[in-house]
Amino acid sequence: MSFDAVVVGAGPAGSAAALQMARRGMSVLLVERGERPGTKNVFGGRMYSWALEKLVPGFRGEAPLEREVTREVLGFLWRDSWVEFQVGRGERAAGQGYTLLRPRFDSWLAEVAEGEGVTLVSGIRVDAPVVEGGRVTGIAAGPDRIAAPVTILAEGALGLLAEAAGLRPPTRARDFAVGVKEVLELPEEKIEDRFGLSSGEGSAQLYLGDFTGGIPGGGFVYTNRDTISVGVTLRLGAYSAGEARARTWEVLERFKSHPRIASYLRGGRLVEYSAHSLPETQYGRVRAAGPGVAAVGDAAGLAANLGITVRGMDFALESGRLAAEAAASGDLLSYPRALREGPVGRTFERFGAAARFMENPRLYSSYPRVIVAAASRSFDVREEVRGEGLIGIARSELGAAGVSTVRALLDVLAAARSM
Amino acid sequence: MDVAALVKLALDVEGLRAEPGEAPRVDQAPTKVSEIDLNAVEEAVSIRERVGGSVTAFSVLNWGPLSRRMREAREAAKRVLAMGADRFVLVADEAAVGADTGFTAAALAAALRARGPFDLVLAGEGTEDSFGGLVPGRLAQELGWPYVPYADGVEVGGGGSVRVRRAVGDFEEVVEVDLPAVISVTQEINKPRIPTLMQILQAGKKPLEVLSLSDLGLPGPGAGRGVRVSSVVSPRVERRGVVIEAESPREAAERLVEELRRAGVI
Repeated sequence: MSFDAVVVGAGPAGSAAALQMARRGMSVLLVERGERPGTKNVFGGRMYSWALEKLVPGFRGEAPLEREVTREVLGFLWRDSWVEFQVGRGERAAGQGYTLLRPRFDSWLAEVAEGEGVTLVSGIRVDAPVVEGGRVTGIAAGPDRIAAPVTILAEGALGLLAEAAGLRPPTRARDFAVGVKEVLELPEEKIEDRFGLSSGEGSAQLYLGDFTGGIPGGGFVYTNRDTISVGVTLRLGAYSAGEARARTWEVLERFKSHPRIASYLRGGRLVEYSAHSLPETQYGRVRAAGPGVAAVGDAAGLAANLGITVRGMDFALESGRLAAEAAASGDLLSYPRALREGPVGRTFERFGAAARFMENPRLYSSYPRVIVAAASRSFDVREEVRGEGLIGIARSELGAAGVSTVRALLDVLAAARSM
Repeated sequence: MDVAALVKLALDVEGLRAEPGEAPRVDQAPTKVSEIDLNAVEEAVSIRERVGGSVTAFSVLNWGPLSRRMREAREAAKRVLAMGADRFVLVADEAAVGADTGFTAAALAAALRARGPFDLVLAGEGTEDSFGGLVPGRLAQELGWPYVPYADGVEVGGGGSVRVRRAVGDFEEVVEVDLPAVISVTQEINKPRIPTLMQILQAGKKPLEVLSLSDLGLPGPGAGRGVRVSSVVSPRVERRGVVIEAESPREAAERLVEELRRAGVI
């Protein structure tokens, strides 16, 4: 049995690549490790839709989407207080992004690929790429080998096959974060009332605060149709794997029990929990293609926490499509350039500084406290009259957090410039 | 030896959701091959590997909605064929949805007659959703064949019989049964193989035949409702919501013991 291309992993990147190659007349085998597509990943909640728009123009009527995101919240939590910046985008947000649940979405996209003639096999682990004379010539899975002129690796964050194929340097903890997530069920109307949403509208909420215990990372809340996705991500470089196991759930529990977050989740019934690694700051460290092989999506390190936006699925879909076009043109090695010069590469180029800014330790140790305490003190009314003014309050809170005013101003400037 | 294996698409009970006191949302739960039926398939394939012959899997769709179940059934068939079955015969008909075990057995008997002859029928001892364990016995009656339940070993010699080992309570029984016969197997009989990539790919080329009740000459709606399920509700589980706060683990443990005593559980 022979194929023009083998794709490893039926997530968005893999299914996009398989789908597009099949459309270009190639015979494609898509191998998925999970029992069915979408069962082995963890995804916060929101997909930006521009890349899917290009791949499946009619997706809005067909794809299992949860809610259209029209509301953005950036929040800071400290002890039992909080500050939330809420942006209602109304019409301007139309069609730009959706919350979704990946088991349903990935199954759908893989079915679209099957509809174009892709052969999907689930429940099979691919053990290694087959490398002969410096060229990838297929895959090995258990006792079987499948030869193909093109192998596309869409295996996800850890990228072990991409590493074996010589595309990735050895794995380092600091290039990853761990994400843990729960899905809580609540009636549709309750979600809409609680978050102040109209029917079909969704909210995407990101938080920084003392719940991470100073570990770089944050929390998120996304509204689905009748569930809420809530979770935290923590950078792995900051602590050891042993600690990660012990502390990650603790951090999630602290986040969930903060009064603000608890008010969103009250009465929700836990229907799913999951954990996964996610790539951070890997762009540029991974070669996107080599002889006979290309890496797409998370396997190529294409995910970014840009502070106020978190990207990954759009990059996955776009990179899959671009790799497929390159494979169909007979020149797979043209894919890295297409990736670099397209929207994905341009995003990293333009907003790479934002990703680096997110490594600033003060974001996790000092600023949530300064912001929440200063904002909260501004509303103090007591018998004793104090006339510090806003700037005075901010300065004294910075002092209490051990951050100089100059340092803080530089950070504000850096944030403003990079984001 | 030509062996038939019975395969049920059972509700995946882990995917079954329900509010306490209400009916589970059956239509939204996925289905999958009942685990013990995979043991039946494994045994059928290993018999063919030992003595030659063929393996045909038979299934009757019991759960609706049919449009969704057909997709799941194709996946299930692919898995069974990848394990080594030679062909898959699926009876799918709106009229068979929700039918009782008598009707399922009649439909299976008709399908077996239409695609036979077979020497042996193997089935799981029960299916993981309803675990009635009735279909193999009722099928044997429909066919007029002998029936041996709960086999944890099947030995195929020459001639027209097989030896079956059964663990019954705390002793073991070995019976010899004349063929053709129906045997139900336990999960202890073997370990179902996990198909390889190549076997799954080859399974795509094996025949999957879909039959309706009229293809089998069976009566349509209204038949096979001898047993009606009058209600299915999920139990109410009340939580007492006691939170123990204490200065030390020791104090917490003492208070916990006290609470458990008061509740009468220790």
